[in-house]
Amino acid sequence: MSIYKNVSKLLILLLSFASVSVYAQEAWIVPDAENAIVNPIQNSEAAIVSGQKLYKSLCVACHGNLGAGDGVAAVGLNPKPTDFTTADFHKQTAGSVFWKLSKGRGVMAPYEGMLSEEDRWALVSYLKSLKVEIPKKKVATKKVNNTFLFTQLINTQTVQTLPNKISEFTIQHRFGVTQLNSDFINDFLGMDLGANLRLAYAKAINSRLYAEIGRTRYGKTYDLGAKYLVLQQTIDNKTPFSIAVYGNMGINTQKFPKVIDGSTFVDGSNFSYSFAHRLSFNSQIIFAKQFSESFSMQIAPVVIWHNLVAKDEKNLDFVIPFGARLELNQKSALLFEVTPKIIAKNKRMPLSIAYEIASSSAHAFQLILTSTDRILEQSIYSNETIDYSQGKFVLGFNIKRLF
Amino acid sequence: MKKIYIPLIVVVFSLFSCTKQQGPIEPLLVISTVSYVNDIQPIFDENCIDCHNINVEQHFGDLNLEADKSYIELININADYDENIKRVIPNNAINSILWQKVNNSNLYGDNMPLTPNDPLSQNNQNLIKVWIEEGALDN
Repeated sequence: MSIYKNVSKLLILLLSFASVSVYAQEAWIVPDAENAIVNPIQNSEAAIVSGQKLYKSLCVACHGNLGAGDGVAAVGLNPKPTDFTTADFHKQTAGSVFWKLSKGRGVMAPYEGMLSEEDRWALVSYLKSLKVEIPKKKVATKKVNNTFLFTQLINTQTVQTLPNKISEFTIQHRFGVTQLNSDFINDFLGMDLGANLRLAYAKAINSRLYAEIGRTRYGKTYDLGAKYLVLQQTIDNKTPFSIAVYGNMGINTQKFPKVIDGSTFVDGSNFSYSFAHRLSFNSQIIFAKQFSESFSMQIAPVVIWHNLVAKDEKNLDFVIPFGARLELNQKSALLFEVTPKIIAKNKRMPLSIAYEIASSSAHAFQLILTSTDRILEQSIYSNETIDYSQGKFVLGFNIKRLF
Repeated sequence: MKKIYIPLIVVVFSLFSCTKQQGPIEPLLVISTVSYVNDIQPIFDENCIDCHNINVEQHFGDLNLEADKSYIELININADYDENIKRVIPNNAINSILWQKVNNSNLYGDNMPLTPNDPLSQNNQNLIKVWIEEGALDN
């Protein structure tokens, strides 16, 4: 039964997409004679109950459970289905409502031939029984859910967490370092060179928290991470931005290089490798704002910690990645990232741009032009950025899927 | 039940203690006689052959550094991109590309190794230099 319901909702949705775009909304003028007709069944309790039954089966898909014009099938509709909880609706006479649902217009079906006159009057009785909602309340609680589409922009984390019970699978692939000379064609855009790859799986624990696990080729690195959405921007901008915290631990599983006897740490003690030396940490707090439905920006101070670094390096790095997403149309967007390095060995800023092709908000392909063949943030920020002033760059792609 | 995940993540993260260490600093070895088989080839095996191997050599300077192949590909062989410079000139480390690349001189394009074992330890660099200066023998 519920499958049938869902399928019918989907059909209504598809049909409405097909028919809706041409429809310009004009005032819907009801003939005076019809307007004056009084409800012959006089809003009796029985009529309201049977009207409600009809509403739940016929109208709910577009007009919504509570009659607010926000049903699942209303998402793509323009104009929006009538909201039966407004004062404007309740100003209309019963006769006017009866005439409109009998005749229909555009996506709104004419019920004259489908329902008996008594049923139609019962529906009118039910609609008239709905309460007028004060619109302010609804708007105030609406949150900005899609500041970005996915949990990562290109290389950096976004404020985005996953909807409850949803998983995200990510494939990040970077070709080798190349430049525009004969090698570019010979090595086919850098594809023939050593490549880097990361697979990651993230799972929502609730709508504000998710955990993830990933594996990167460089360093044979496993990573465990989690993100928590602390504060969510609201549409009315009373909360003007979103804040999330993210933590990630990288575990390098490559064989330790050989060291000769008598080697020491910088502090003078005897050198030997231990498991802790494989670990690196990435902690960050992300601030993001959606400026319009097509433009979002974020800034995220990141602290990177490596348990063991080479003799003339520091364990701590501090960088502030800045990211932006500009939606070009429903299917594509431009992504941009730049990361000023505040405390780091090499101060050249990693730069990335990407063209995102999204067949839906659950599936996307990103073509990337970037200045690093590293993927994990601890690896990007703590290593030297490719010298793009010499025309060197890396191409790559990300594939993302929510399910 | 779901709340159990949150402390679990915290516990997993805190299991691994942070350390703040830098190193290693290797004591500088006194290098007298260098053996190609025992000293040089192991450096290639550990740091170079991920890229410079028979399968992918055409993309990496047309150079294969795997055992049994590396010696013949190095001694008095021209770089694939310039016929005037040689990979290894016996007794002449300064003009050998191999030494200049691992010595991070920036003279011949990218220094080696690129990643992830960048750069060679000072002892390994010294071994390569001394080996070339001793005549780059196949010993």
